[in-house]
Amino acid sequence: MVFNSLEYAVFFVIVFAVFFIADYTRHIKFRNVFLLGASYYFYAQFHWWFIGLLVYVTLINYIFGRWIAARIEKSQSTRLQVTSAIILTLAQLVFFKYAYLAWPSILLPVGLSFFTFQALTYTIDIYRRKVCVEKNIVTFALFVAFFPTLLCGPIERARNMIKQLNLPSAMSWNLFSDGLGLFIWGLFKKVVIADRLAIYVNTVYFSPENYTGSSLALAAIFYSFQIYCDFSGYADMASGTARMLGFDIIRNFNLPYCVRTIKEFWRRWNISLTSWFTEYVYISMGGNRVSQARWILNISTVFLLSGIWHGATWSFIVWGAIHAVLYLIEYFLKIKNPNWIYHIFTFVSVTVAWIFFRIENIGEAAYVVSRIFSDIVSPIQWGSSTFATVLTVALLLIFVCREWLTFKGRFIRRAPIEYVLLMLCICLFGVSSDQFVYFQF
Amino acid sequence: MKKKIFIVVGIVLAFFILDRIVGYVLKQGLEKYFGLNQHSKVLLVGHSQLMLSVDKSSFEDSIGKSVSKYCREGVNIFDRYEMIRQIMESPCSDSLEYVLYGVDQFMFNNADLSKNSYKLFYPFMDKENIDEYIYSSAPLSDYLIHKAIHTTRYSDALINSALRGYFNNWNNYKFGKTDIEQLKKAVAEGRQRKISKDVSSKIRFEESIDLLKSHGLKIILVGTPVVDILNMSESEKYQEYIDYMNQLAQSPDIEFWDLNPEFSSRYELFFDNIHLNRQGQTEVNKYLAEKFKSL
Repeated sequence: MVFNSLEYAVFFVIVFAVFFIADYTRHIKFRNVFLLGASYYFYAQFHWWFIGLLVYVTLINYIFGRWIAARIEKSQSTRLQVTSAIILTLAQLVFFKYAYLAWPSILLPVGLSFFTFQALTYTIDIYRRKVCVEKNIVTFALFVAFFPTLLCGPIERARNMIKQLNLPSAMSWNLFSDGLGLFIWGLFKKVVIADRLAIYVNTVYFSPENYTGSSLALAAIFYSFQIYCDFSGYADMASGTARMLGFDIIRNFNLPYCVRTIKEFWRRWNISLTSWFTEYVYISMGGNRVSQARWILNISTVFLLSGIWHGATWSFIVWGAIHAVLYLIEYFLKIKNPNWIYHIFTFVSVTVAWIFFRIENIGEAAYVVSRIFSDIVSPIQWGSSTFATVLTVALLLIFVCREWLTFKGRFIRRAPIEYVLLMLCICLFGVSSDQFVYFQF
Repeated sequence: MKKKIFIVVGIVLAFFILDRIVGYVLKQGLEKYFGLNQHSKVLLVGHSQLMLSVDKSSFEDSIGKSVSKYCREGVNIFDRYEMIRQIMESPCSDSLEYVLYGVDQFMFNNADLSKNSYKLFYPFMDKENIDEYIYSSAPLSDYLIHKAIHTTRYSDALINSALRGYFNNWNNYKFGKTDIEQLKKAVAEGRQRKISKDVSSKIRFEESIDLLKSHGLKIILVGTPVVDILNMSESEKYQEYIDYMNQLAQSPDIEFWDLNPEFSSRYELFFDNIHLNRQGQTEVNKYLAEKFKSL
């Protein structure tokens, strides 16, 4: 059951109805139990045994959370406990993420990376005295399994989410309409932009040797927007769903392709994961309050870990390494007031990095990159349907213009007619797919 | 609060109004493209093989009669039956005199064609027979969504056809040549496309013929050319198909024009083993027009 499905619409209507009644009558405990049940049901639609992992991660962090809190009260050391919690929690993630190297048929549970990291924010924040222990296991389990964010994030922080779960929701008509609008925008990005782009990208990358450099370049640009619209579309649908229920969750994307530098890009791309690595890895390693050599190591570690988080292949590591190098070059060149040429350079660099992200074979990815730059002046092959590809380009250009206007502070709020047009586009141009790029992570 | 409710109702109403307008505009374009809203003398019915064999504009110019070309990629016998019903029940069918129905030896291979071909007919589901056909073929949720929201009925290919209808662009051709060596290899290894006979398809085909005959139309079964290597790979079954068509052509209302003897050995005319390329279309078009003029 994915967000862009009829089953989800029916599921959400039922959940919303019961949630609203329970919340309105201030039956918060029942509300949370129901929401937890709904979240588990939602997750079980993929494979029922996935629930076992959710329960495992929940129990480990709940038990260790309470243990750490109790030891803090007695002013006892908690380093061993938090380390154990982290190891036990990450063990199952590492196993499923990298076990396929030995057993290719093993199934990676969808959302595992996301709810694992989300659960760890609680335990680590208790250790760091940033959040109080949550004694109600239902509330904590709901924090881990909250269905809007369960599959693909955003990775919420316990200090933001748990307090919301313990209070009556802030549901209001304004929040509901905002949430619904955000959901529609996310759905548009997913089915009209991302899934359409995927058709051309999948065709070209299936056999890149049969395509000209310009076609490969087009596929690369398409993929840059495909992954953005797929992931941010999901995030918008997740945020929209949460908002309709009266919850405020972290914004995961903030127009990352509109900015001119790599540093700015990483402030706006997958914000919840980037901030997770910043807060729990980079700062733990000393952040920027260390020698320059150590700082370079810290930055490189974060980017490489970010690559490894996606998968165990060398191409993800190369992707992380490219970003680390770009980030460091930018820092040492002390780029100030970058102009539009540098903006293009940033976009091209990020796009090249995405090629390694998309094509898991390094050799093939390197071939694609070299072919793009050596054969860029060549006829574009439009795929099996020129009309469909050109239509996709037109829709993409409209989308890019809209994003740019938002970045420039124009038309930030959508007028009602825009929602009508978005829904029409979804109906007319939407391509149905139940796959989200980030499900594989 | 009242204002917000009005806004919501306004958005929903605006959506459905625009949905109907866009759906109507696209449907008109589609009907123009297939010639469903014009009083034609000649109707072409078939799938991609006939679609790529005949250029509507030049065929019309050659024979001096208006032509409706209702050919869709991937349509099976059952789809074609519904297409014929759709046209026969239209007020524009009163002018029809001839029907060219594309046939080939694989036409009764029900499994080979698209199982989702009913989706091509979504734009026309306001017509009773098409509505029944889709209702019996599609999942209920799909049927209800497409029934309620008209813009969901259109794929890129249908939007393309609708726009081309408005621009009077009926070109359908492909460039390229078939790889005969690959076909020979496939035949040697037994991997080539095989002839099979689904009985229900045959029955539905005969019902199509009867339906056309009941409207007093002259029926021309056009045997679209297939590369002769493929024909000879199952010569007995191929001959059965030829005999069957000749038997149907015993009827005074029916003729069978088999294009294979003339074209199947001219490999340079084929885009793949069963479809003609641009050059093939030009030649077959000329041949068909001459034969038609001699009727």
